[in-house]
Amino acid sequence: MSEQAAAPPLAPRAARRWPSTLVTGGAITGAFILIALLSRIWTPESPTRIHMALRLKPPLAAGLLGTDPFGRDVLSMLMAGTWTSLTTALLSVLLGLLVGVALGSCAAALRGRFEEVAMRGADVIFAFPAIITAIMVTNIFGPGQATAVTAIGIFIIPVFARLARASALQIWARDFCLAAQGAGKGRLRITIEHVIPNIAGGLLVQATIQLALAILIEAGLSYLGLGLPPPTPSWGRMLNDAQTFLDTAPWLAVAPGVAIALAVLGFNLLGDGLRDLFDPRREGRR
Amino acid sequence: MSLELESVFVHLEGEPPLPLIADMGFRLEDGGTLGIVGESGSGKSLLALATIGLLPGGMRAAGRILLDGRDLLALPESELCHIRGARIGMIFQEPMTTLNPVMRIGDQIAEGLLWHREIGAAAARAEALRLLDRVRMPDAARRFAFYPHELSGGQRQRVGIAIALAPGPKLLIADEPTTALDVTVQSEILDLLAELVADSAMSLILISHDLGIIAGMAERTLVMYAGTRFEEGPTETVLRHPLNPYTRGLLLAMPQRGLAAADGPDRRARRLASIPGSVPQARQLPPGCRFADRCAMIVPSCRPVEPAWRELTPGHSVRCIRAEALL
Repeated sequence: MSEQAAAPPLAPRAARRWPSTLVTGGAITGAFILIALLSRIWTPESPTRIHMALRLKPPLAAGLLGTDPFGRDVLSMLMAGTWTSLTTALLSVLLGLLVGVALGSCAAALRGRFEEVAMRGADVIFAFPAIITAIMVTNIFGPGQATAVTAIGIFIIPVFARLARASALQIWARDFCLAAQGAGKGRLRITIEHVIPNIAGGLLVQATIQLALAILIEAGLSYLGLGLPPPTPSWGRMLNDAQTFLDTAPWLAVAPGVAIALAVLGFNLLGDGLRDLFDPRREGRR
Repeated sequence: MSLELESVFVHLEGEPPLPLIADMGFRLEDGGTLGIVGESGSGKSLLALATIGLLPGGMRAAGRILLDGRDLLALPESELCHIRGARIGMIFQEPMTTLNPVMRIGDQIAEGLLWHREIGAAAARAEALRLLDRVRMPDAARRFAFYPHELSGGQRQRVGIAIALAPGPKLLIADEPTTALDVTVQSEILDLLAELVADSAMSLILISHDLGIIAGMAERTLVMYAGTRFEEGPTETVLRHPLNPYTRGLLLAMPQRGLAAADGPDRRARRLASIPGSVPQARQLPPGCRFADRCAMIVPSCRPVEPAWRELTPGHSVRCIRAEALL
């Protein structure tokens, strides 16, 4: 009988080896997420309390990471800034992902004029450097988290629109999409039921990498004073505040700098790790 | 459900448009079975896609495709969606690629039920399981939650058949349903198909390049060559008394038991006959009869004009000016 069920594997499957990048990236991003959540309920000091008697204390002299020119605890500000950074990045990537995937997969499904308009629109947005797009949007709507999210999200939309369209076109070329059409399904319905589940892996990988980028842009925006208005702590503004005191109080710059670098590294590693996990062709090359 | 094609053409758009299928036509009665046979590249699959309105981009069909009297070519896409699947079921050639790799097979079967019939999710799943059982999937209840990669080729084609049957179509188009399968599995699938078609009184169009399969399954046979019809009639008549030299060539080219072992003084008599050359591309059709360059019975009058389609004996039509010589 040629149609026997696949027999149970003879030897137990070798324990799945997680890519080391995934483990490291997951640990770093996990730590940042925990810190961000923790900062909502507890920080060593209030991140906004001004204490002029304790201004510009070096690390360990007052608090673990010293104090800033207003005597605020740097560690507390850093923790609170993590929340700002991560939520802004997450929301903007979510915005870019939802709008971008909707546009890209509809472009692949409908082709024709819709595809042309959507993709040329993406090109136009791509032609602007991210930070300039962000400055433009902030100048129009004024600083605030919603503005920052929109500004960064707009830059991320074309990334996902292009990726979603290209991968969706590959799926559309496969027979099961033709079969689904043969079963009487419309193109949009096939997109939701068949195409998107098949491209979700690549989109997720791209999303983590875009998260790293979004953190960088958010830091850049608040460095330029276009992020969340003070006194909401943010990594970018801490950097900006620190540059005046770079020779007298370098720890003020090091702390947010390291935080930004670590967060970006973490999300990039996570993205790499996820890609390795989803792509069986990379097996053995880790 | 009856299907009638009247002078159907399929063109590749361009300047000038390139005809890929020309002057096709047949009539399939309610409950009838029609076998469409032809070499690779003769336009069989394209004809199937044209019938359900799923031609690839850049191609256009003309003529009339009447499903119970309604012209499918005149219907808008939104109405075609309710005909595809619900009225016309389609079984594809490659069971390896026509299933969605990230979806459980039970859900893929249930999907069509949810889409075309007004039933709830639980009822759809129960019906899907029943269908899986009906296509004789061994251990159906367990396999219901399997992904396509966990099944063999034959099992996947059973799923493909179950998907096609799910919405209860009255016409089934099977495009080379067993070409990708082992010979032993092939006959199981064909038996299953024949039984299902008979049970639910469906009409069947079976597309194949294998005359043996057509002979066993179809009441009527249509022979296609280079994008047009060459001969059509009751299967028995077409295969026993072909009126077109091409059909005859196909039959002679079929390996037969005993042929190789036949002893004769002439070695060549033992060799399998073949038709010289290959099917001409749509861009390089010879003038006159499309088969002229390869035909063993060619006469000068084959060249100037393409032979017309004509009914030579009742119910048996042919496209060849020399058909009388084969009567």
